[in-house]
Amino acid sequence: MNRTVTRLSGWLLGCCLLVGCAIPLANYDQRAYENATSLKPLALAMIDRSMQRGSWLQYNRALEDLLVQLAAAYEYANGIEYNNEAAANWKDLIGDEERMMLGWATLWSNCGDDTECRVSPALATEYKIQATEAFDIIICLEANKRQLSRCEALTRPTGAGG
Amino acid sequence: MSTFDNYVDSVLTQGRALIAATFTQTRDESRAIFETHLTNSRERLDRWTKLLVLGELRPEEFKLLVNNQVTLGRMRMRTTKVIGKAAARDFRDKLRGIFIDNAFSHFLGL
Repeated sequence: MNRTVTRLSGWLLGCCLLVGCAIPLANYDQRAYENATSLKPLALAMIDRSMQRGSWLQYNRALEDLLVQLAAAYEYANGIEYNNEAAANWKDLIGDEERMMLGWATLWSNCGDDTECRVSPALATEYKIQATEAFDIIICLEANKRQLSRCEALTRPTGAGG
Repeated sequence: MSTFDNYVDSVLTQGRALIAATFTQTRDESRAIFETHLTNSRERLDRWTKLLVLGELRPEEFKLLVNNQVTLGRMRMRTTKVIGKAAARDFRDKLRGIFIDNAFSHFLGL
């Protein structure tokens, strides 16, 4: 009996610390998940449009709407307690003038009124792969808050554009 | 062995199995997520450099893609951190179940 109690006590101490303490992680949020899954196809379609000549004139308003929706998704994630990582990922997805969505939008906006201008097809193709990955990262994070699950999209190499 | 000894043995055995299952899976998943990023980065950088030399990518576009790749690495790191936290929470919840289920089973015969 004494041996049993000794064996258990150390283990119990560690477990009780874990069982009793709160783990600072937000619960799964259906709306946050849907924000990512619904904005992903919209963003990818917009990236495709950016390689059409004169597309800036035609789609700059739609792009602005998309960027507002992305900002709203970030604000929503940022408003959830213990959701720092998810909110930071949304912020990174939006980026700034030198990276991610805003970086790509800045290059596209340089076309201005030029009806022949477009983002180079090579950039659009490559950036689409990266944007897909960024959304998949956000989706994977949210899904794992509900249930530990494998993120196939993040462990399948897509370096060659697959 | 007393009922209490049996209870302790059951809890310890199931607890150890739970640790192995939960944290091994999490460690492997996190490693795979990060290694895939390294593989992707190497292949993409190689391809972008060729596109830059061919003039199909402008220098500012090349720079954007490289910046993005760094950002994606940071995003992946955060996701693995959350997977770790989720695994700890999952372990905690299942451990509670093991303590309670075994208590009912050994002391109340349910």
